[in-house]
Amino acid sequence: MKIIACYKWVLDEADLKVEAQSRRLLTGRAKSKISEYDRNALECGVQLIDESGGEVIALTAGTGGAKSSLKDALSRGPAEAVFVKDEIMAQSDPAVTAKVLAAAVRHIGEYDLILCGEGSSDEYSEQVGIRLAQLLGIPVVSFVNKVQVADGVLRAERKLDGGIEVVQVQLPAVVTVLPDMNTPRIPSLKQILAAAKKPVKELNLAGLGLDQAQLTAKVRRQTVLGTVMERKGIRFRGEAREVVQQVLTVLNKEGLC
Amino acid sequence: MSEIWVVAEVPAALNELIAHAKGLAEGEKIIALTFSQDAAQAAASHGADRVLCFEGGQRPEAFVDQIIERAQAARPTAVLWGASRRDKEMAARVAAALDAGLVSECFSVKRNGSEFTTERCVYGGLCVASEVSQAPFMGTLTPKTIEAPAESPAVGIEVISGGAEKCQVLEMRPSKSSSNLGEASVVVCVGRGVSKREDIELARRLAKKLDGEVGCTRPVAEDLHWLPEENYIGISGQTVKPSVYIGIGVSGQIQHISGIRDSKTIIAIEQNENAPILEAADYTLVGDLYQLLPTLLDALKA
Ligand SMILES: Cc1cc2nc3c(=O)[nH]c(=O)nc-3n(C[C@H](O)[C@H](O)[C@H](O)COP(=O)(O)OP(=O)(O)OC[C@H]3O[C@@H](n4cnc5c(N)ncnc54)[C@H](O)[C@@H]3O)c2cc1C
Repeated sequence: MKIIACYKWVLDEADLKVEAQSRRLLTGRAKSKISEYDRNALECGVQLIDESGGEVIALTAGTGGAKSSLKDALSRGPAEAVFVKDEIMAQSDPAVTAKVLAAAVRHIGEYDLILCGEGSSDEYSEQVGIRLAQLLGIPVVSFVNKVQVADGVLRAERKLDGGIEVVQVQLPAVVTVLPDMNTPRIPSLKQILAAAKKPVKELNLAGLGLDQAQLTAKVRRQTVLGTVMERKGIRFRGEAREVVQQVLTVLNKEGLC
Repeated sequence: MSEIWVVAEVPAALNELIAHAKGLAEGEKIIALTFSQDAAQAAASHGADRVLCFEGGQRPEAFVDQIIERAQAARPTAVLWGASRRDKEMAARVAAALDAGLVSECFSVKRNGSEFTTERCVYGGLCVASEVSQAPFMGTLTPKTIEAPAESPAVGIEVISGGAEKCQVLEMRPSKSSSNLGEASVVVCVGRGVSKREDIELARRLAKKLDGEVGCTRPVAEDLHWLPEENYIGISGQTVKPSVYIGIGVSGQIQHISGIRDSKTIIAIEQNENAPILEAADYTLVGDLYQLLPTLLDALKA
């Protein structure tokens, strides 16, 4: 089985700060990481291969900065990585990203299954994997937390608002995965060292035959501002009884005791 | 382009979308696309000008191809989608097929002629992104961001049958539990700082005494399975807006805070003074929850 697992290189949201006065987003100190749910997608691919053989190709589209992601992705088990590199990805929206990935998938050629995270931890639009399937003309099974593949047929459980839906579909297909699908591995030193020797193929957008019109985002971003939350920030310290006495005053004011 | 479409699987979402559509319409008719008689009737009696009911498919997604064809022919000015997972899948597929933009989980949409300005949360709820799209506009809209319109005389319902797709649904297991967290006036939230499953009882006692409900953080539900998944609070779970939220051993990562932002007063019991919850809280009881919580329960005679 040949599996393509897509991932996005994102700023780690735990490193982001908002400047209180201007509400400006401060990204200066932020490190990057493979988006959380995409780690579940990579892990899912590698687990399926461990069971039934084959290989996983890690696919990412990003700016030059995403180059640092390749070793991390490869240390998680894929046999090779494909990196679509273009600065335009900094202004991409889900429509553009899906078109870029679709072109890259066509370039890769044969595949049985494409895995994507359900949404990215930065933008969380929850669209790219679903759009990708539509553009490739293959079925999508979205919001999945359990999969099984046997004889070219995928069986999956989708976690929906009303309950669990179990579906079955002939491959090839796209699956978008939820965080409770699995626990992504933490690569060992050996795996990290081995990753450096795995093949990486770099592609660019011109080479994929995408023109300017296709690469223009439909949605134009105006501003990104920190959400404001005015809180008192009072700390009660000391002996348990004193601390509790102080919070009782608060609860009392709320009419709760 | 003289139509605005509203599409959602459940009636409550559909009615809210009609309210949004009424606010955005500049002479366009409001067309509701529905997938059950219940939803069709709700839309028909809450202000839609025309109601289509797709019937006979195994699930709403079975009609995506038909929706795409109709959208290509009718070229609606805007398509407003619900924000359930089915709605999101349908929306993204239709948007891809039409090569249209789609803005996910907008909590506000404004229109100026052919320009639509939306707001939505990004970075786990740390920021709000304001974005502009040109008609045809598509967006999934966050529930409970508008009042549903009042009932009005019902219009007729056009039934459309069919619905073919490659996926085969083998089984649908409806979820059993539901949560009242969204309406609760007091929420006691269990975080991973609570070290044993039995200790959730302490949170329950506190909630009971204060007439509140017990919620939790995502890992408590999804990793530890100590409470049902319907009980976890945050950007990917429930949104709560109680008068008092009490977090017990909750570190307060942004994805969790996004779900408690509208609480009137936030109280935390936390031993690590560097945990982000301290910045999000009005009052933090600094210390070991295993000392503080029993003392609080004693004092409340809970
Ligand atoms: C895309 C994405 C979406 C997410 N969505 C959500 C979401 O919707 N909801 C959500 O909750 N999370 C969500 N998360 C996870 C989130 O980032 C945090 O990991 C999670 O909220 C942490 O849960 P916690 O506070 O229970 O655990 P921890 O972060 O482990 O915090 C436990 C806290 O308890 C304190 N503590 C420990 N022992 C004691 C003691 N004896 N006394 C007092 N304090 C003690 C510790 O100091 C610590 O601060 C999401 C993550 C991602 C990447």
